[in-house]
Amino acid sequence: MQFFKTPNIEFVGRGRRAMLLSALLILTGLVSVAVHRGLRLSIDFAGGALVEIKLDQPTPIGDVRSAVTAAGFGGAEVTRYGPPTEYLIKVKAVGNAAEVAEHLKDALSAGLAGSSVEIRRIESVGPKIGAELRTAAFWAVMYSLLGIVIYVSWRFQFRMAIAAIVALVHDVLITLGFFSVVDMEISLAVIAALLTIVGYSLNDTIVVFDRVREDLHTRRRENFDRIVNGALNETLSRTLITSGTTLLVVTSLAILGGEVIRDFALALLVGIFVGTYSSLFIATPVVVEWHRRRAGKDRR
Amino acid sequence: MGKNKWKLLLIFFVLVFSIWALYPSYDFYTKTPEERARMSGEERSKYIERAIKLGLDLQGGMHLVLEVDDSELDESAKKDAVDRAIKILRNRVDQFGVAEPIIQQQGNKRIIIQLPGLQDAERARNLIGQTALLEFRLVRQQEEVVRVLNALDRSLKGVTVEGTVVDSTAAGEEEADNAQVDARAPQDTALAAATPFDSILPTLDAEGVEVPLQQIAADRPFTSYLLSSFDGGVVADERTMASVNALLETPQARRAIPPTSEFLWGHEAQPMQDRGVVRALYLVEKRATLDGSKLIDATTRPDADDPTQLNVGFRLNRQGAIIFSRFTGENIGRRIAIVLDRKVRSAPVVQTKIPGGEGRITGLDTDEEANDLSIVLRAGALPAPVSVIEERSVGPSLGHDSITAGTRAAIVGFIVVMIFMLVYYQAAGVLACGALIFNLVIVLAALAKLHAALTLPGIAGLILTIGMAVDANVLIFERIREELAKAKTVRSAIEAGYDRAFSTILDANVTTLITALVLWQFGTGPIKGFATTLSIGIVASMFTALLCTRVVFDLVTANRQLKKLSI
Repeated sequence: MQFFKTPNIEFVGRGRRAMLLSALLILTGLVSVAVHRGLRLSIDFAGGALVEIKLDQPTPIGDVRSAVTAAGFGGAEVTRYGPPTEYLIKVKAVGNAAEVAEHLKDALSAGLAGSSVEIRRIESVGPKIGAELRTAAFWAVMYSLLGIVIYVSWRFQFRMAIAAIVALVHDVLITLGFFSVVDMEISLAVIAALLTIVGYSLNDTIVVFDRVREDLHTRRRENFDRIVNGALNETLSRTLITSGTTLLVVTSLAILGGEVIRDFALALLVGIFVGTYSSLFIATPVVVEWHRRRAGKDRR
Repeated sequence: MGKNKWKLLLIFFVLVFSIWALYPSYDFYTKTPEERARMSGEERSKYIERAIKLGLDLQGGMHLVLEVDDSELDESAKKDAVDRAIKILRNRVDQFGVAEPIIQQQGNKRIIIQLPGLQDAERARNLIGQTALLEFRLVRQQEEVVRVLNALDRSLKGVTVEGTVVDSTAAGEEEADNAQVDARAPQDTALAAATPFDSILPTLDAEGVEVPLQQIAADRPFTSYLLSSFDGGVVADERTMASVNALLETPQARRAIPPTSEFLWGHEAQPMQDRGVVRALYLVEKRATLDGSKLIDATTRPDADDPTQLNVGFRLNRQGAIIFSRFTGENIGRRIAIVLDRKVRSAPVVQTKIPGGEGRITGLDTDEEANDLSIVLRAGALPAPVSVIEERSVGPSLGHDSITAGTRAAIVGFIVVMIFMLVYYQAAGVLACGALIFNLVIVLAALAKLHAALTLPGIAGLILTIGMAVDANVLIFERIREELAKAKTVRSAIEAGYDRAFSTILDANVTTLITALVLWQFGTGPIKGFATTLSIGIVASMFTALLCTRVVFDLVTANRQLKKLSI
């Protein structure tokens, strides 16, 4: 069985149009971030407390909400978490977050009479830790980008390293934009997913660059952009099969993996999709564009 | 052929090692809960040493990050404050009875505590979070209290703080409590002996005209917040606590209170007839005559008057006993405050000199509270207060659900990918599936040997590894197909396929490894678990794809002239 016998799709020629589309997607994300006044940060980064509860009988969300409000947490956010017996309550940090979680637990046990409350999870993060994690997450992304630039420059070309980084930033921006548009929170798990996407998308890009590197030796006479387009087509079936199998398992994780892991799986799902697209339409066209301009300069 | 022999030997070795590393995990996790419960502690710890550890998010438990506030300590004490705190916390946790707790320092002033499988998070938090500094301080007498109150009112004139003034003119007689006070069993008689505050606070001016409340507040800015006084302190409405604290914090108030005295609150609010919920505020000597460092033992024992209630009895060492004996001997008829973490537990009146160095702390609400107090007193006080700055607790039921969901997602993902590989690559697909299973075994074995905990993100990493591990095989197979299309023989196509794919696989995986390692470096607990499984998975997939499948291909094609390859 084989999906593509000898594909001959024009990728490089469509590079500029793809860049326009990407720019549009990124812009949509940025506008959404601006409208929402920044990304929605989870308590991991913003500080605060989170309590996951399980009731022994289905309870309308209104009842849970009023019990939470009666406990003095008017600003708390109550969301259903799977079945109508499970709820997630989030409170913004006020003083000692651990105490808030404790107080909330007592208040719920008292407020929802006739239904026993089981505390499934308590997370509280002090504002100081949240700020530290924000910085750490930022530097983690920066360091991995730096590591990639160094490695790719050494094994390939500096130009390719920069093109790879452009594609990665592109992937991260679009994924973050997606989270903003659907109004989902950026948690530690989402940052982990972003870094995984960075690694994954790079994987794709490297496979293509590797083929370009090889073909540059064997097909010296051809135009640079034809070589690149050829390399993209030669590696196309591998790109799609690997992305396909990874998407299969990630979809399985998103559907079956449970609520706790769903944000993470969703970020991966979007990121892998975008990452595959960017390897085909963004990273290599950037290299071609760069090459073209350099060649033009040399001629003059 | 000689080369393949070594490769086969290596593969065989890795396989045997992995199975050997995984056997304890298999043995442990296939046992029923009853069988596991029957295990002796020694047997259990042997298993836990060797089996794959489950992270707190899967088995349930509590993860705390504490910060030591050493701002009050001098330079020399700062140095080992965290070390001493860890020692004391370990002591407390051990006595609390949690299996395999982890207590370690993080950075400069932080301590990580992990308590797996813990049921009562609130109790653990209280046990860990309190400083447990026990002090004995002399309580000031009534004349002194009145003097300080008058000084405060004079000094605070014109100073306002946010908060409500409770109507202190409302009449209310205290219910006389006929509690017995004997020296060996200190009773909290502070509130019982309280007198109505109206006797201090004049609500009628010199001509007998009633003074409006605002006027009183202006003339007596401090006492207007109080309800009544007793020998050694005053009583305030629970709701005005914050305002009173704010007033006491002002520089004017600091000037008015003599430097040798300070106000400390009672540890608990109590209902007072006609006055609502109130709390006592004691004026005590700033210096502690004796503290918990001289304590050698603390045990729970039933209360003499009410055997259903537990008290905590303590014993002082020789030096402490001598100080305590002299202290009580000199202050017969006066109150001594038993202070725990700057809250007055009780303030009994000394009846006689107490020579034995023994005493009790009464007024504990529950047996658990008494138990925990005896634990923290035995373990000793923390060198500085700690605060919980991060907590992640997962109940056992959520952990169980997470395991079920995670495993199901992994199995389904695994099967779907295998079916795809079989359909797409046929016979070569069988090889890829074998490599995939081997890959999974290696990752799990490595987790067991590295004592890395399997977390929920770790399971996600495992699932992702499945998706990515086929990548190396796909790269090779696609390359072999290309070479076959160039009408090469089967053997040379396989050779060229592996050779050409090698650099691709290496570069692609090294870059992924870079991000995984950065993630590991940055991550806390669960994220680290994800990065660990991902990193191991990448290395393992290179091993299975480049070495294992290659050997099989070589063996199959070595002795036969294959015309066609099922790929």
